[in-house]
Amino acid sequence: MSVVVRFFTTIYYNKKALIGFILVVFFVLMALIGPLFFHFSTAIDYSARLDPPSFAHPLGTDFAGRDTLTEIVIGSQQVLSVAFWAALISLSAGVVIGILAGFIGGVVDEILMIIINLVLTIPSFSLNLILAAIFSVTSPVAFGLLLSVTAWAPLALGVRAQILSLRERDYITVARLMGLGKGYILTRELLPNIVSYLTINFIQSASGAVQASVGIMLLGLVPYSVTNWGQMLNIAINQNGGLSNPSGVYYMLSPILALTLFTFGCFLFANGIDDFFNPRLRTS
Amino acid sequence: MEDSYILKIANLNVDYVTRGSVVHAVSDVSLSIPAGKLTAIVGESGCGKSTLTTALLHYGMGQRRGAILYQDKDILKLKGEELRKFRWSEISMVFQASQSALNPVMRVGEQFIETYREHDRKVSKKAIVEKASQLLEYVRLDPKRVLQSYPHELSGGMKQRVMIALSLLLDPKVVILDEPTTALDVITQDAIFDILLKINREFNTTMILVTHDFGIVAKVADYVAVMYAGQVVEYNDVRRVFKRPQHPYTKGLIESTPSLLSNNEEISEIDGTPPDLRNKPQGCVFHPRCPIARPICSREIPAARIEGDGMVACHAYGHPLYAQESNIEKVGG
Amino acid sequence: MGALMTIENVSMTFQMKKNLIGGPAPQVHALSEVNLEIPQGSIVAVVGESGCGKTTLGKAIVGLQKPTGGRILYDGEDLYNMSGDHFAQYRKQVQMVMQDSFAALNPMRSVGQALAVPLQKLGIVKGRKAARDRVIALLESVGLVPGEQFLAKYPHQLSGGQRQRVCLARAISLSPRLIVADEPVSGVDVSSRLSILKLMSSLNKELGIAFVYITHDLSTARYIAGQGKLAVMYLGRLVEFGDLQSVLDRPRHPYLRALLTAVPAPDPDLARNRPPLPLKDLDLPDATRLPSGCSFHPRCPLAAAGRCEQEVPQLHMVGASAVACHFADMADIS
Repeated sequence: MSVVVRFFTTIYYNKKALIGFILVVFFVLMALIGPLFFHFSTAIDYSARLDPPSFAHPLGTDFAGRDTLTEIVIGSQQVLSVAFWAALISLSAGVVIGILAGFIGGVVDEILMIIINLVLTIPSFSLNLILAAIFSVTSPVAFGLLLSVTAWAPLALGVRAQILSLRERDYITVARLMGLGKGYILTRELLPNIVSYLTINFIQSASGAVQASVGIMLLGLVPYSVTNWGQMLNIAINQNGGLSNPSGVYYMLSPILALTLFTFGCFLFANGIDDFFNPRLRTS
Repeated sequence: MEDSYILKIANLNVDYVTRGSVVHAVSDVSLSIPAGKLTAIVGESGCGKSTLTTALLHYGMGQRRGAILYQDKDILKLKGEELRKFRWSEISMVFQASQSALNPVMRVGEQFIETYREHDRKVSKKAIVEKASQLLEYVRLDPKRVLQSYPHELSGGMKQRVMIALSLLLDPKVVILDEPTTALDVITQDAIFDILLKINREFNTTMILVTHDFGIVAKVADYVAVMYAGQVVEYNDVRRVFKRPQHPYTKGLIESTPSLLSNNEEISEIDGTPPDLRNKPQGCVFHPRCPIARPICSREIPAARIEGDGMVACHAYGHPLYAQESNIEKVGG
Repeated sequence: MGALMTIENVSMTFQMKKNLIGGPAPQVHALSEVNLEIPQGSIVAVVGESGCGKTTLGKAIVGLQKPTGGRILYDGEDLYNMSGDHFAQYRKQVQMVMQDSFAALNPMRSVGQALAVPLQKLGIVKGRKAARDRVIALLESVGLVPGEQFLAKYPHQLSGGQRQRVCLARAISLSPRLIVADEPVSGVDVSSRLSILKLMSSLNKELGIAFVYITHDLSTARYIAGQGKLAVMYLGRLVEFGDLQSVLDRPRHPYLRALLTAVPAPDPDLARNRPPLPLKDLDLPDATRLPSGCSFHPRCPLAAAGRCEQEVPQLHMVGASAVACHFADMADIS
């Protein structure tokens, strides 16, 4: 059975993962091809300010009478690319450091563990805020890097723990007895066992990065962009009284809904990953 | 002799539903357990023997159908407080891994007190400790030392004996022993079974032993039920089972056990592997592995034939066609 | 036949962690001055209770654990003092089969992958096709027929017996001269145990592979090593060693006698009419505080004051076997 067929079979049988997959794909498509269909214009129409949802504006309008749905779609590109880079950078760093610590062990492990534990004690959101205030974050890569400054540490700790538990397994002992080298043991015996762990963590890191990035945007610490979900929330709450003004509520709820759906989708999708990678859970 | 049976299992079925498929762990088992005797339930891993015994306590997972009568009460109908009181005071259990059955952060003495108090709040601590000490002495442990110990301070064999003492604390009528010595070595195993036999005789406690080891069965059991793929295929007095096994599976199991006594020249294994319980063979569950299978065996489920105290579920039993090719009858020596 | 491996005075002492109060750190003597010879192409059964050091001995033989004392010779050469080439040879030629066949196979890899990739990696066969053919032949030689059918199977799709056969196929794929099998059948269904023992026996006869069969079960030891040797261990020491048949015919060490009494006979009449255990104490002593002198003396019915608790008995020949007991000759009479 090809990998693709197996993937869809697994997803089909795991309904939670299916819903998650659809949500994630929905947001990814929104970011990739959404801008082809939605065009954001800066034109201001104060007569249509903070309108409730209608046929013309399914999610209502913003403080300047612009379509909220268009803003969400355009904004998804930035939010998702930041999430992607953040997840990729923090996971790569986490994997490399976790494997070095767990597989080499000894002094290397001890030094890396001190560093990991040090990073874990830093309040990450505060550090992110300070760094965002010092450096001007302009590109998604830079934003992702910023979010990864501390996010790699728990991943490294997790990967190390996985490696430590796996390296004591009998099949690793047998591989050693057969005279198979460290490279073989790492790539052929250990890594296949943590692929599902890594994939789940990639999705969860991405979803965590979305939360964190929106938090930083909400506080206005990244360059202003009116379509940015966090910026939208910022405006909705601070300038339009989203919490007290009944007509501002749709403008405030739209980015919240988008965020919630994406995070929820990531959570559900991650749920099905192990079914796909673990031969024991595969549906035959 | 209706009253000589303490437990009557009637048409018991236990299914586990997992990921869309149904595992028939126990299929249509009817079995009566004689009071005051030691009945062994023998079979390979996955034959349903543990599922059957946990059903006797109405404990754990699985959908149960059928009835388990204990003193005219159906255990499977007990609920809530009634069920809680019933467990341990009427039927108790000694598990395979006593290590995990004892609470690691509680002294052994406290565990005896807690267990008793869960069932009877009025009894004084002193009385419980006294009773616990008697039981510990009975299982050849030093009560003064053991009651003050934490589980990790005891060896595996000692923990298992503590568990046996704990299982007797509320004077149950039935004790279920689920592979009680698999983790232990031969000498400890031997000593523990000597203790269990003594309890069986002196307290008249009915015992149900779950095991895969025919050597142990030979040593301790009065009656033997052989299980295969969720069904009881043979039941009889222990001597009859060893001298004249009727079911080809029983015969195969006995013959495939290496011994210190025989020359081991004639022993041979049973071909094949036990079936997938989600997808059992048609007809007799044993027919794909059976050396004497005939066409009927793959079509019809053999009915339970009862003769005296014994039971066997095999088409070959008493059938003239099998007389020559089956050497079931020859096993005598 | 010459000795394939010689275990010379091997000891293995583990240092436990210090306790909080700061008392002396307890030591566990997993092996004490063990001497054992494994002849080429032979079967040596190592029998003892849990904690007797039999598994540690196995690990020392396959080179997983370096002894803290003594030497292990392979083809007359010290394991920890041989050239890199020779050690690489030893690595291939001494393999291990473990108790838990499920843990011994990578759950993420199919049988085909688990067997073929090492063959290619170690340069035993060249190319995928050749590796596949070799794997099929290996699977069939351990009774998994037709071999093709097992290539794509994952460990969880096999029965315990089939998994143990895969482990044996993997072990023989490197053409070893010795396989250490640590309780290889205790995780296998009773009805299939015998076939695994028979398989090992035929690998021994047909391929000349020597086996060290580690077990707590004297009956299976007797079945597989009927023509081989029996080594009985107690608390890290070898207490009796010799040809299995003659050792079992005339057990000399009081511990072995107790062990033999405790093995249940698969016959109700015999099992119920056997003498009581010839032991003074049921429980094994604490491994960190071994008894002085002969470590069996607190449980031994023959122990004599003034000697057994003071003097460690050395292995010496009594009749046809080597026994470590001050009263081995007397035990013969009693």
